[in-house]
Amino acid sequence: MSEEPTRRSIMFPEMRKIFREIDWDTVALPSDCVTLGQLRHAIGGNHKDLGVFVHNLTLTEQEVARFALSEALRAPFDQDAALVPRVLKEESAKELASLYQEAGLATGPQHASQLIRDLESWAATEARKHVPDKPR
Amino acid sequence: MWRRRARPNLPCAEAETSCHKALVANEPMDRKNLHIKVLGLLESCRSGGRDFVASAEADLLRLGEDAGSVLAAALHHANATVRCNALWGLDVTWQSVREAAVPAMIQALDDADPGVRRNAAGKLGDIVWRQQSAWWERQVGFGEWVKESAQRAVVALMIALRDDDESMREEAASSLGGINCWSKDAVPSLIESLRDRSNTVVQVACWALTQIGNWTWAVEQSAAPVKKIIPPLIELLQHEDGSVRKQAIWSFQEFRELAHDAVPALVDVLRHGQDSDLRAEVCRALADIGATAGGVLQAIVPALVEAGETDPSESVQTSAILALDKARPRGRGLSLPSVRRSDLAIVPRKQRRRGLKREDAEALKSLLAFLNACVNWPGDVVSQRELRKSPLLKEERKRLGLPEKISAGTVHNHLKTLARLCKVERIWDPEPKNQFSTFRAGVKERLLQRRPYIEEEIAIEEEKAGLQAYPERLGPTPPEPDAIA
Repeated sequence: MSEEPTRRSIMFPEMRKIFREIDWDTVALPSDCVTLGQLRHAIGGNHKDLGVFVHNLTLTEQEVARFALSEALRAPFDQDAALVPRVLKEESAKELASLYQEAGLATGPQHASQLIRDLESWAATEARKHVPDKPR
Repeated sequence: MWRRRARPNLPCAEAETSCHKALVANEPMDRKNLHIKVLGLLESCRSGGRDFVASAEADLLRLGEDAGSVLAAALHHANATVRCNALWGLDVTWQSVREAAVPAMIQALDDADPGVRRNAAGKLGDIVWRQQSAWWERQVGFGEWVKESAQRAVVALMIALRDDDESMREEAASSLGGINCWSKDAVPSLIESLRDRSNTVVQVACWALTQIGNWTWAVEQSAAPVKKIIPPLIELLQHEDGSVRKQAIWSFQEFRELAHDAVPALVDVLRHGQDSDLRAEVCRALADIGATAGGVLQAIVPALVEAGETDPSESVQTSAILALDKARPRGRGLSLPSVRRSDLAIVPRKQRRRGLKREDAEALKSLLAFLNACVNWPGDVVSQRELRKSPLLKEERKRLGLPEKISAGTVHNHLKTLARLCKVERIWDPEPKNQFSTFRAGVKERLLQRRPYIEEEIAIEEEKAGLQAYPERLGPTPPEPDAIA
């Protein structure tokens, strides 16, 4: 990866359009199948925490998906530009893995990583729709 | 736990060096001479080292398919050592001897010498296992004869389980466990062996049954053999020998959810057993069973809670607490009515204090403020505390619409993230004998390079959240791609 100053990603205007067009309500995410029972178990009986837990889970999940998509869209053009979303995604993914385990969506760290990889593959598929002829 | 030992693949005795040298020095030689030499080698194996074994192996492999006939003939030799070494030779040349190996070894199971019989029982298991592995991996073009050989071997080993020699029975049971994929028919014979007068044979039979049960469940998805195995294993919990009882507990642990019928017996051992080691083993087995078979938690949890609180042995108490943690329905919700939260109170679950996670744009802006503060920092010397308290950072945060105060933890996290973005371990190096640090060379430039990308991420995030897209940093909105086209 070169350390030379790189030109700003030519993808950015298009990226904004892509992100604007994504309907996050229709994106299949691992937390789609979480049950209220699992959430109650995750919060350990403190019902005040339920909203906070759901907020954190959904927000972090979408954050990881978004950064993964950003990385997948930038990577074919500029590796340096892709580094920023990659690092941010990895930071969020650590938190998401523990949330998945607490919510009972993942049985362990390996399973959680698998679920996060599913998010990344969704991002890669989504990116391929928009930049089909670029090397990946 | 009894486990099958790896046997060294060596001739049973060692060769006399002088004789060996004389034989090895005969090269090159024709096929007839090679036959003679191999027989000589088999006869002369009394003392010798690794070199001898290697050369003997090479000679046998040179014989190729002919090795089968030579070695089969050697199995009728008057000397028991030669017969033993012929078995070793068959084991070495199994790939070239092919289907001739197993019948020869089965024949050797009836040998007059107990040592030869024992050797044949052990080697038979090894050779069948190798053949089946090679067959599966398609290393060699083995045909249907592998299956036939294995089935014949299993029948012969089942008969060998009734041999008078204890070691022979042990080897036969061990071989049956080793070739578990073929040994399903041997389950009744092995169950009979659980009543053997030798405790070692009982242990090995128990191990072999576990191997067979696990294979049929994991590969064939058939629980029928395990259903047959569990009741006699439960009886073993009352065996007079502690090692046998322990072996049975290990078997239940291996069977996991399939061993749910054994739970009452295991709980009984946990409550009334005299041996603390066994009670600790029972805790571990119950943990594995409970973790996979939720239906038995009603019986397992109270017993483990009781053991965790009242068992006279501290190690059992610890095992019970750990087992309780493992067995409880983590990740499956508390949908099992049998488990009460009060039962789990013995291992209070560490609850994280939860705070509301900040929205992405806010977190990214906080990172950007920190980055800007680092880039605009006057001079190269800095400390984390100084940066956190600095008006520069406060001003930057205020400008981005963030609260001025920032926690030490957030500063630490931002520093780590920025270091990763710059592809360095840390963005500044601590000064020796000083609380301050110095910015690493080139770090500020790299931070500057990354800034536009962070700004872009913020813009996307704000747009996603329906906010105005960060106009003061990005300037005029770039034209849409369609317009560019």
